[in-house]
Amino acid sequence: MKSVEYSDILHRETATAAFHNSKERFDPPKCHPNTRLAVLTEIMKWIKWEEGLDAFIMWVYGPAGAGKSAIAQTIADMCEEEMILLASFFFSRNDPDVNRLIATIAYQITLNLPQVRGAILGAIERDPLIFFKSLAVQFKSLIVSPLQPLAEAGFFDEPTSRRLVIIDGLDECSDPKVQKNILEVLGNAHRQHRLPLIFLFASRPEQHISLAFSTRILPSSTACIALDESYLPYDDVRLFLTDKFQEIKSTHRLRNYIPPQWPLPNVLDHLVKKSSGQFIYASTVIDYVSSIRHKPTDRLDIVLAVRPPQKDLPFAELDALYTHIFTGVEEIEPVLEILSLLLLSLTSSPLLSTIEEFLFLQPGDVELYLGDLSSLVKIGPETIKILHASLTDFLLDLTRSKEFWINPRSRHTTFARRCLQLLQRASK
Amino acid sequence: MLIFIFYNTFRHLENAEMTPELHDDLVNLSLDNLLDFFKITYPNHLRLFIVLLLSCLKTLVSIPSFSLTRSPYIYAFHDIAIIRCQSYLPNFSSWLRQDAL
Repeated sequence: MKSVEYSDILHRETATAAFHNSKERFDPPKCHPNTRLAVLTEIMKWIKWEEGLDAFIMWVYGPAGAGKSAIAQTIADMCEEEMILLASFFFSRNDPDVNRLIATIAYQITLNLPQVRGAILGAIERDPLIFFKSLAVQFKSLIVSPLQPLAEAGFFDEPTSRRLVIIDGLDECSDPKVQKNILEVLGNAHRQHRLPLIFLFASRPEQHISLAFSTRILPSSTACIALDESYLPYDDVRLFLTDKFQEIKSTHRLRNYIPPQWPLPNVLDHLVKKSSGQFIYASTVIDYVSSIRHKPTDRLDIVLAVRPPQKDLPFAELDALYTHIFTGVEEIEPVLEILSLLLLSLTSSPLLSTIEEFLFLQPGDVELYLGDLSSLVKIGPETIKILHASLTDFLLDLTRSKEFWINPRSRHTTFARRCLQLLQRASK
Repeated sequence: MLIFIFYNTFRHLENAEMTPELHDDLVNLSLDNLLDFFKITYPNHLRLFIVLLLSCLKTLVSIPSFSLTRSPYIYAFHDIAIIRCQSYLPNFSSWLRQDAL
């Protein structure tokens, strides 16, 4: 077999949608200009070794909607620009397949360190079934061993060498055991082989991940950044909202109906406070207000009428907004059925026509039904994209979504029957 | 559409509540028609279909709720499925016995 064919194997196993610059992640969330400066600076100082922080892993964590992926994306873009990014892997809840993690990193190493390409393809040549082996074996064969000669030659001793790997959304990866295993593999590689790379992780503070960072699973040389109020997120949210309202006032097709003083300073204060420092609230409000089908002033008035049922709950404000948006949906059952299919099916983004056929809907129905949810889902020419990962948590949690709860067992039962009926029909 | 159904049938089945209606839909499935259909229309998917089907049935028969009145039908369907599937892929029978059943 030629090396071309071994690179074909590598390409086949690579999750192209997980690249930070994948076309499948087009227009990913990024930090709004001049926001998140403190946290971005701290991460960049770690990457560039400016303060002698000798950690091989940095973990950035925070609640849903705090902007972790936006930070990871911005760091990836900055480091790509400075040619210090080695690889990136952005997990997606719609495609939480961890099996392609090592291949995807290895592929990017072949691009960014061409001098290692031969060693990586050689490892595949020696074991063409390497991708069926454990994560630890793949990691050692495809990453640790090929990089060893460069490490010994001192290549990675320079802070500006390409040695940063960014892994975003570890908590989106399907199985908590696998998430822990990834950290174990990295920890072992660092202990046993003096791994020359550094890893930036961004995820929610799930218990098993927190545990890995606080126990012996990982070596002590790790650093953590909690996206809490110490980074003054309220100031950043205010800047984001101010800029976006200005943008609406200058570009919205109904901008002539917007008073120049809109929104009033106390309204802006109110929104900043309601955001709880989480960008998802602010961006959801802006998406809702900027709908081209409505007057922005009317939409903002609707948002301001939202009254959270309880205070001090982490997602109470966001749930109130989600609930409010769902309350405005004219025909809720077909909407929940469509969303159930999106959330519970294996296929990450089924075609609109497939959804319609499966749910016995007419062509165009999905777009019509989901029209009221344009601030939560994006309907492309052929597929639907849920814009906020936290919407899934909301819909699958009875205590949060209440009357809009998607009961997974019940929906799976309906869909299983539909599948069997359609299979039976097709095979007649 | 059929590929979508193909990949999702077993996911939904394994996570479903086994209502009498779903139970009847499952045990009344015409397996031979289905296997013939995949063999002719999607031959590359036949092996995966069989593996997924048998694996799913294995999961289903191990669920305690199947010890209810209707369960004998599922067990019978499970046993028939093994025989029928092996006849479609005789070369894989030992492998199927080990890994999928």
